[in-house]
Amino acid sequence: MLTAKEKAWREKRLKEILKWEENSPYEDFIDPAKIWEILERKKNPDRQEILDIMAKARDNASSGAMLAPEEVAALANLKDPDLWEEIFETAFWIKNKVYGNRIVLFSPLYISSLCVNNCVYCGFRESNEFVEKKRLSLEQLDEEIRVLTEMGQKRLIVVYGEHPESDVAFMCQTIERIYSQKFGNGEIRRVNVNAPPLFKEEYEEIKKVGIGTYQVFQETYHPDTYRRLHPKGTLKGPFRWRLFALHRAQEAGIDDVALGVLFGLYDWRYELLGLLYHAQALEKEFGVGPHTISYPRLEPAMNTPFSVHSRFRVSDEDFKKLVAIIRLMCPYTGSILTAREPAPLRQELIRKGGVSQMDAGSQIAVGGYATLKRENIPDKQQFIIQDTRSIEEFIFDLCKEGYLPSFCTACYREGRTGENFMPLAKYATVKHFCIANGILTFQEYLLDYASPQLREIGEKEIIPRYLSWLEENLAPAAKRVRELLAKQKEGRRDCHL
Amino acid sequence: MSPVMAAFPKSFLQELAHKACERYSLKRVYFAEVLGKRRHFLTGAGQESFLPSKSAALKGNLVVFWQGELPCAEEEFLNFLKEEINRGLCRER
Repeated sequence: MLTAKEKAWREKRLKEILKWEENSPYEDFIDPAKIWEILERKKNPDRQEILDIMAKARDNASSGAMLAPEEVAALANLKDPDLWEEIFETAFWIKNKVYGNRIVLFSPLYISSLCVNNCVYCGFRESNEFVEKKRLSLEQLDEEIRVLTEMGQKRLIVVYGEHPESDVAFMCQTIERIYSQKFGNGEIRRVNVNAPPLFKEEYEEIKKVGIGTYQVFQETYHPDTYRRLHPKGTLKGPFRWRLFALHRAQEAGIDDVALGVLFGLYDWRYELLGLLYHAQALEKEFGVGPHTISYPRLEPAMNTPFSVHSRFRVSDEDFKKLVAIIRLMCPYTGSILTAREPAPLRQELIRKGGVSQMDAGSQIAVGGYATLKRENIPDKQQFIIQDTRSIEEFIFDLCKEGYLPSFCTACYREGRTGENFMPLAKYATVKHFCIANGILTFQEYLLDYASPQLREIGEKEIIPRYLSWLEENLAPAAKRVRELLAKQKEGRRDCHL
Repeated sequence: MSPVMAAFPKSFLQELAHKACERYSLKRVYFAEVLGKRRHFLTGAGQESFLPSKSAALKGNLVVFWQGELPCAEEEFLNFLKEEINRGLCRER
């Protein structure tokens, strides 16, 4: 039950949100009837059409273009298993073309699970008394950062619920606190944010503390489903307020923004087109598309029947398809696959889905890193996590398959943000930075945190392999990386291009 | 609008980046605003070289990044930029 104070805060904010919706300057970009008409029209794509779409997606990897809605619908409706194998290969090819064969690692950090909303599928909904909700104190936050940095992590996505105790001031305070911490060689160098939609003035405050990316997941692009799952009278209820959350962020000057859908709330094929229209709308309005796209799948949460019984739950087979389609649809975007998914599926999707960013060693309970030891504690979590590998184990698995693990945080510290970053990704040249900085940050991890076994494979196989790649593709950068690798061995840290 | 953007219109900084690229034969020059660890891109000129950039503070939260070898001392280059910026500020006032 909400307190009187919480209710008053929610009522006041809701009034302001509804007022914003009334005066919203933006044109709607989601038309459910049109999306269904396209999906229906493209329900039986022929082989040649699919081959043409794959060829176009490969071309788009170097031109920055996205697929058309009809093309995404054709892919989503495809049944032919042989063609699907070719699509998976195309997704992997595109990802390597744009970003190189590296996987960027991050960790989620839940800072506050207090929430005034009542989303039907969420373990943290205010009416769910079976899940303990809490907010970290600054001292508890320090402890989380200590544990995370001791694991070797450099990148975070911090998560906040929508609540007066985790308002913008608290968000700014905690992000600044995270950046200020240093434990030996350990520090967090990039903080991305997953938080509720804000007003422009609030985004301006967040921008000042130097965040990486601001994520707002739409959850579902189907307005009727959205309204059913996000009760009226809650702050998450107004659909358009959330739909234009990242437009307001861009208006405030936050130019690295990230999209996402919670797959399992509505038809996955429809949601893919929703994501595409959203990316197109951002491009049209601001010239900068989504920095990343996330595609969490609905997972069981304690005392949350909808999370188990939704008729739109996505099978593993369909999930692989939608991840690959996202890569073909929007080649330049970062593609985030989280530890919600089981380890074998995650390994498979690196190769089949063109995934570019993954978390590992994740704890999704508030205070989880400091207090939990690699198990799920359902009564403190938003949902159940599936891949419980440590960072070390995850990196070892990446190395065994020849991928380059990366803790890179260089771009946003080198002014490669927004419209400066986009051309690098759109014209598939960012990989030169990705591989160079991947090598450097991986070596840093090996020196400071890795087991002898991992260090062996990292130093003898992975780093030489990617240095050779860099040598062949951009010799001057390889030369500089070799110099910096030597300096890191002497004790210098945070070397990057 | 951030203080940096309010003080230095994008068109002014863009022109300055072009001028600096030409005058010092640099591959790329761009400006950014310091926001904590973030260097928030404002505008720039030239072509990305994928080699390490050098950077220096100019005024307030404004920093410059450049790629390529300077034909002069770094100080001379930075003084040129600072003078241009001061001149620009005077014009704005």
